[in-house]
Amino acid sequence: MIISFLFAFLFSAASHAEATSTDSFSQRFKNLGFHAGSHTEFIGRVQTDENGGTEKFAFNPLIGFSTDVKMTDDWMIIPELNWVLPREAGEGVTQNLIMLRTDFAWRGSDWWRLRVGTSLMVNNIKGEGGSKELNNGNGTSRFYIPAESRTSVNNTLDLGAEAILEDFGIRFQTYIYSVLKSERREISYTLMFSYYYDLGE
Amino acid sequence: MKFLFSFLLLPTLAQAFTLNNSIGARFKEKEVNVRVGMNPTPCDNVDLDEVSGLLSEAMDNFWNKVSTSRLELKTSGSENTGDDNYWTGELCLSGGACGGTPIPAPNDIIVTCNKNTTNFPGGSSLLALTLPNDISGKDIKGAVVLINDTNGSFGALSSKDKVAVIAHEVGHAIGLGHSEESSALMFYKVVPTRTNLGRDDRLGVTYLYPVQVDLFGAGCFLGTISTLKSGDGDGDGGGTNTFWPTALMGLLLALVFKRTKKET
Ligand SMILES: [Zn+2]
Repeated sequence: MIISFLFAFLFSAASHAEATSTDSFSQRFKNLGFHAGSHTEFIGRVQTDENGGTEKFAFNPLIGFSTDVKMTDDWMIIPELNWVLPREAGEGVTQNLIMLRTDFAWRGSDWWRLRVGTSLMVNNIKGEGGSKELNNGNGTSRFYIPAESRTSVNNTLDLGAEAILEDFGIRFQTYIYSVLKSERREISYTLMFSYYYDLGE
Repeated sequence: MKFLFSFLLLPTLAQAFTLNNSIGARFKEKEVNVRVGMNPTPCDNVDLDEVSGLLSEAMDNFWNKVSTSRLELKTSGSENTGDDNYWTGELCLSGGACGGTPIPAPNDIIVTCNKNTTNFPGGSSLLALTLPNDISGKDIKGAVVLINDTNGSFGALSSKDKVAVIAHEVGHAIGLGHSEESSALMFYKVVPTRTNLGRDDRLGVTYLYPVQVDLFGAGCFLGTISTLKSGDGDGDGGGTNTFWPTALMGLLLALVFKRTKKET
């Protein structure tokens, strides 16, 4: 998985180098972005209490990095890698979410830009195995804690808006799951802060 | 490193989903049928026509809504059970003895009424139960959900609660155990208002039935359904399943780079 992404990335970088041999590296790769924020999964679709309340915001720390690659004066393409830090899902179960992303960004002015892009949402659920006695409504029964590592991979359509002040950015980034299948269409989002390290012109 | 990893774990959530068997068995097919089981004689207290009408709501409002799960529960038609009051010992489990008693057809989940006192001892407060799944290897072959017909407690529920009870039992039928969190549908009792699955339920169904590269939800399970064998556990990561989409993404990048060269 990771390898195929790296392959794809290297492939694109290599063909870029070939195609733009007269440009310097830094003219294309404008900067490196470092991101930190909080990720909320599936707005309005996750019940959080006994009374039907659903999750609108969750504090799930996310870190990531990216690079802006200039296409034209107003357009850029932005490969990005984000990681929602491991979340414990009870005893012995851990969830890990990695996003392999690419955005096309349009710069509206010096201080804001819009993004449209796509992600591979690599979502791993890993259990340590074991079992426990739990209430079954009529006494208790033995239930089992998952013992394997399994991964779901979704392809999402992503829309984002970002405000930029000098080297810093603040972004509202959404990810639409199952765009073409309305019954399963769900939206996650990240609120994130970014620092852009300029690679120079 | 181990220490660092533990440190990063957020201790804020105490939820946990469980499985109803130790081997993590699940249905092999992406589509599983949920049918009303028709007994030779009518139920005393349960209206199976009503149950039939609630089945699709129970599936579509819960298990069929999860974007990270490939499982699709189809509600269609009914299946004759041939017996009114069967219990676990009478199930035709794979490889086991079978006394001509009901077994769900392969890839089916049956929902029906039952008044066998082995299942529902006198005065039982249970609303419904799911018999142990018919498992072969690491595949669930079929499952039977029984609604308590020894008293009128199921019938007295609101239709929303009936939907939640059916959806909970089908959760067992697809391989899930109970959660300790009352936010979860797989909590052992019906909560005042059930609108959605909880995080636990979602993790559980995703663990058992993970989507692998569903291109924008279009149903393009690239090379996964055919290669997904029973009990392969999906391994750690997507393997070759995600190669082409990522390579495609790279190709797109490459094309864009080439184009920009001409423009500048
Ligand atoms: Zn239960």
